[in-house]
This record gives sequence, structure tokens and C-alpha cells, in this order.
Amino acid sequence: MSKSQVEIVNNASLLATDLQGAEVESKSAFLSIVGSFMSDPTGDIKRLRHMMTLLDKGSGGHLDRGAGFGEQARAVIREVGRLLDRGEWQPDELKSVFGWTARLLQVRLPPRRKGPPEPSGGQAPHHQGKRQPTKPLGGLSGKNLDVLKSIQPPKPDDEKS
Amino acid sequence: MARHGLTRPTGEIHRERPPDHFDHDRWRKALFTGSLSLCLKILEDQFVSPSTGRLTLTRKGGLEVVAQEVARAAGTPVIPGSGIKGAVRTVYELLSFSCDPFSRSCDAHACCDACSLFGVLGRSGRVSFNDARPAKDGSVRVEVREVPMPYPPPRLECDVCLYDLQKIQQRNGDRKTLAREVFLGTFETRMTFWNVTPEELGRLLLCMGFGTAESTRFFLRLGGVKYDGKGAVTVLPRQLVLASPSRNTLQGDALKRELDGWIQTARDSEWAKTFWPKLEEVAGLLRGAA
Repeated sequence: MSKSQVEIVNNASLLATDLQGAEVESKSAFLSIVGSFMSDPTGDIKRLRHMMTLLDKGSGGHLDRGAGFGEQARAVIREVGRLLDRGEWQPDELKSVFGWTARLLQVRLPPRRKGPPEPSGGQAPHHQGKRQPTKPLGGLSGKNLDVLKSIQPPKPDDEKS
Repeated sequence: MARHGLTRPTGEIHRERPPDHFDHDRWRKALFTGSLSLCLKILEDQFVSPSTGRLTLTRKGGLEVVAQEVARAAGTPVIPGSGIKGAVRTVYELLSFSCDPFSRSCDAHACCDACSLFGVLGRSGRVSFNDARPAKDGSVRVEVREVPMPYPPPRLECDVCLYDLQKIQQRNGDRKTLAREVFLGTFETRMTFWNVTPEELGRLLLCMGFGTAESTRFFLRLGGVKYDGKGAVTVLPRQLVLASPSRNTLQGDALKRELDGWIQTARDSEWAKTFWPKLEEVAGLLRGAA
């Protein structure tokens, strides 16, 4: 892989933010679309692109599904499509980006939501909802977080001095 | 389609500390340890579709289509053993004074009937199922089918919900469909058990639809699209390998006699006095008579 882990995590963080801004509420819709690519040993990016194109045209009828899946799937197709348009990805890098993105979608609250989701009827009572990150990069931790902090852009004051 | 809510007969859940001899690493001579090979035969007008939750690019009639993906292991079609165990456990829970596993009311030191046999957080079960694989080369084929779009089912006040074999009713006469990969054919799996009593084995077989009488036989339901009456399989025993109480391998008539003996033990037990009518109700529903 030519991209560093930091670049990959940064891209994943941006993708997760874009997806959450587009009302993708959880990793489910995201993984349903990129999951087969991630588990494919060959990592055929063209096949992923082709699948998303067909899906967007209504193939299989999946965009008509209820419970918000259709809207979320359209957002995933749009945002992942933008990522692929950059044409700079190796399959392993892309899999890593998607893996990090799924993790971030799981641990971050969507920006517009104020509290944990209401428990739906029939769900297990032990589900505690998503954790609220306390820092901008709260979804990340450990070594990668330290590395990312160190590459934050300099503050305007620093530029003046 | 009809979704049926079923409740247990009135009675209290009895929780007991599983005896030490239920440990999986010690085989007790008085109890049964071994494995039972099973054939899962999908009915002619049925399919089984254990989904992975992913969408995949596949072909239908020469055209590319995006479909919901079925489970595979290294490219081979499989019905996950966890799904088979879950289907059997659901019926077993209904036919015993057992807890709601999502309530986490049982633990390793106090188990209800179902948690003692199938396991609970902190204590392994005494029954497991392997992933079901094709019975032989070419015995399973994968097709893409258009299945009705699911919708949230009505909430029912009950202990367990089961679907019958009827197709889903059209709402507003305009039901949309989804493309989904499905399995057709015959699978094989293996149920492994440790330190299980003959009565428990009999009840386990009854919960897979093995009844010796027509009134207690039914089709086990596996995979998705149950709301459209799909997922029905006939479970047939192939071979029993016993490690305890004595080493033995049984097939054919000898196997049938052994299994019938376990079922008869369950039939003669205290359990049957309470739960036999409920078993017949479940069998009627899952056989398609409802």
C-alpha cells in the first residue's frame, strides 16, 4: 500500500462525516453496499463501481426498501462514488478505509442527533445506544489518535509567529 | 402470510445450577454424548435464504442484477449452524418453561431448561450444530428470486412468534419486490451433543419436527423470507455416532429405533403432560395446516 495509515484514517474520518451529514445513521446501509467488495480477496474496484451504478438505477429494487434504507443507500452510493472518482486507491487501501469508516459510523453520533436513539419496540433492553464522543476525533483511539493529533493543521496564531 | 403469536402453558420458570457433570470436557457414562448427522431437504416449492446482509452483483437470466447475498464459506453455499441452532432453540423455548434469552435473566449458575441445553453467557451449551453444507456436489443450486418487500409486522402479545407456510398477503394490491439469492436442494449438517439425557434428546428431536406421529411432525424453518411462507426444510436423520454411554454407530432401522426410543422417553415424561398439546399446536402451524 502506498498510502500511510494516517492518510487512510483521515480519509475514513472524512467519509464517515460526509455520510453522517447525508443522514446515514449507522454502518448497516454502508456495509451492505461495500461488504461484498471488502470480503472479495481480489478487491475488484470496477465491480464495486458497476454494482453501485446498477443499484442507483434501481436494480434489485433495494432502494425502495423502507425504514430509511433507500435514502441511506443513495447517500452511500454518492459519497463512496466521490471517493472512487479520485482514482487513487489500491484495493487494500480502500478496504482499510471502508473498515475504519464502518467503525466510525458505529461509534460516532450523527451530528444532528441530540441524544441516543429511542429504543424501538421489541429490541433487547440491554442496547445502550451509541457513545457520545467527547473530542473531535473521539471515534479514534490509541496510537493513530496520537499520530493524527500531531498532524493537525497549525493554528492561525502559529502562522503569524 | 400469517404471523402467529404463541404462548407457553402457565407455569413458572425453574432455574437450577447446572450440575458439574454438564461440563463439556467430561463425558458421563449415564448420559449421551455423540453426534447425529442430519439431512436438510428443502421442499419442492420452497427455498432457504440465509442472508449475509450484503448486496452483491450477480446474474439472473443472463442479466446482471444486484441481489441480497446468501451465506457462503469459501464460495460453498452454507446454512450457518448458528441459524439452525436458533431455529431449534426457539421451538424448544416455547415447549419448556424457559426464559426470554434477551432478558438476560439466566446466568452460568442458574439456568432454565433452554439455557442449560443451548447455553447462556458464561456457560457453553450441550448441543451445537455445524454449518450445513451441500449433501454432495451439485446437490444445491443458487438462484436469484424476486421476493416480496418485507414490512414491520404487527406486534403480538406472546412468548414466541412463528410464521405459517402461506404466502404474504398483498397490501394495497401493489407490493414491491427485492432481488435475493436463494438456495434450492439438499444440505447436510451434524448436531453434536454432550452429557444429554434421553428425555432432552427426545425433546430436541421433537423440536426439529421428528415426531413419530403425524400430529407432531413439521418442517423446520430456516433462513429469511419466512414472512412469505419460505424456509421450510424436512430434517432427516442419517447417522448417529455415540461416544457415551458406549461407542456405537447407528444407521437405518437401528438409528430409527434409537431415536424413537428417545422420543418415547420424552413422551412418557412429566414434560409431555404439560407441553404435548402445545407441540401439536406448533406442528399444525409449521406443517401448513393452519
